[in-house]
Amino acid sequence: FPLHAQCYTLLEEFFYPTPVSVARLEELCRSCPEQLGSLNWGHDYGEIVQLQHNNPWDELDIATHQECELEDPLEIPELAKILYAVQLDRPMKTQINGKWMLPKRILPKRILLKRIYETVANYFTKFPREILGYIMTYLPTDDVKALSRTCKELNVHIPSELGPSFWFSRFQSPFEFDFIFEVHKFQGKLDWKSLYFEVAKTRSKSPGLESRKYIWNIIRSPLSDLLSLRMNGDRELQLPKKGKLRWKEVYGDLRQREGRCRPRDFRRGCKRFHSQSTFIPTLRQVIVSAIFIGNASYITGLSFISDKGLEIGLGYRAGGDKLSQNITDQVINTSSIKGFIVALGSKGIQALQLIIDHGELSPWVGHSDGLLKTRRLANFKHIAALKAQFDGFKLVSLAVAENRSSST
Amino acid sequence: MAAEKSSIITLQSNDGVSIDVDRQVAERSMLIKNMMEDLGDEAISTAVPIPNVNESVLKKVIEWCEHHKNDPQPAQDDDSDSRKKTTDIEEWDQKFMQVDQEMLFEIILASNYLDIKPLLDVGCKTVANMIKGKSPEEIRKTFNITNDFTPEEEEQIRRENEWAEDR
Repeated sequence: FPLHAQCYTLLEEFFYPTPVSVARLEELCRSCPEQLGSLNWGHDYGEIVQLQHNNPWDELDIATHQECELEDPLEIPELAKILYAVQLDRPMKTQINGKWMLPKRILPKRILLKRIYETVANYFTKFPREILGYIMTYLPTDDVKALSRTCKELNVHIPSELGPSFWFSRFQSPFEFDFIFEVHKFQGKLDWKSLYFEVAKTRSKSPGLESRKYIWNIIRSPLSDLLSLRMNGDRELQLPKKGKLRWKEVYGDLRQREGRCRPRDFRRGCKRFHSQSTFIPTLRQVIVSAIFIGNASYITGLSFISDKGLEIGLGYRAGGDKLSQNITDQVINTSSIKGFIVALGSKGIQALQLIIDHGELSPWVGHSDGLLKTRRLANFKHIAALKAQFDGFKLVSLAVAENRSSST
Repeated sequence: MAAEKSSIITLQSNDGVSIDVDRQVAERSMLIKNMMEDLGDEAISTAVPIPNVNESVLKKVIEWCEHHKNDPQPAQDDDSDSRKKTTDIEEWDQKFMQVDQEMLFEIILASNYLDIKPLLDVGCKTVANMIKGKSPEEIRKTFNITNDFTPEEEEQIRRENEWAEDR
């Protein structure tokens, strides 16, 4: 199994209440080559592996793998202590980590009522405080700090007069302490403000919390981005007859071309899991989806919207309501496709450009800088059919054909 | 069946304008819904004054309620969502909120007063999205906030980046 039990539990907590799709997870892992004992998905695992170019035009390989001993990210002794210390309805004594604890006496907070002079009112200062607080529960803390620096009155109000719902929101996704999921299961009332500051104080000194945060960040990106990709359309989509078409194809370093590739021999390149092909109708739009991992991008899927509004989906698109900023859907308006310019890496197609109606070029979808680009699929009058092959999340080969009749 | 729900009630804005609204639409407001339940049918025969909201804002709020009249009522404590906070706004609501700032803030105040939680959410998310990623100076510009700090005060707050608990 590719995951530690602790990491899998964190994965479940990250997606709670949605169950983790183990089948998708397995498909993703099978798509990535194994190098020096780690899966290479173009991500540096938070600087634990070092990625280097084997050849200047090629993709990043795992060059070094730092040995690192991570503290248990699940059982964190400091956390139990903090939660007990800030519990409002806590029992008089309790046993934590095998030791009896007496509650720390928390003195009632002093609220300094500062008198401020020469302030100028604005929308925010005129607003009821509870609504202002509510707006801030939607903002990352850095933005709340920026707001507090705009004028005197907000600077006094933030953060000292912010209520518990603001401090609670800091433990919600995607804010800074969302990785402390225990607070959402805690039986008892918590002093959210004290909890916030206790965690802020303890975090850098606690190896358990640091290791929790490290794993949580990898789950957040790229893993949850990858897991949000869904097969778009019919997995088995095939052309009825292929006889009259002449194909041109580009592909990554496909391992199956050299015969069957056993999992442990999969060190570089890519694999294909399924193949889809379709005729291209008169179009209204083409949607090209791409995922960004580290400094690289991969095309995950193509979608063709016909002039009648019918959609032909190939490959993967982000599903569900969660839209990650690392996944883009680029919409290109055109009635036909005259070709593709493709940026190719060993793992598959990393970026592409469409040649549309009057021979114009669409913008690049994905990062194409520094990659080999091929115009092999560029010289067509009108693409009639297209075949795309995918692994568990990306486009690994693309082939196009025009009708013989239109090619003369 | 639906006949019972389709009665009309009259709302009166604070500038004295009466607006007829389908009861189902008006009951997106928990304030009005609770009042209807307390008063029963006698409330239907008289105009309901909405003292904090003027005509143009009330009409805008009713427009939102009309579009969302068939939405399920939000659960009181939606526990499954308590771990996540998202500022995504559905497309219709995004367009609905493309109004001047005065109106935006008035809608937020009215939805708070009338107790229409989903509209309050949309309004607050809209404002949050307008603040996101901006520097203090950019926020001032966006919301017309006067910088009332003296240069010395401004220098001091620039140095205090970390929050302290007792501040």
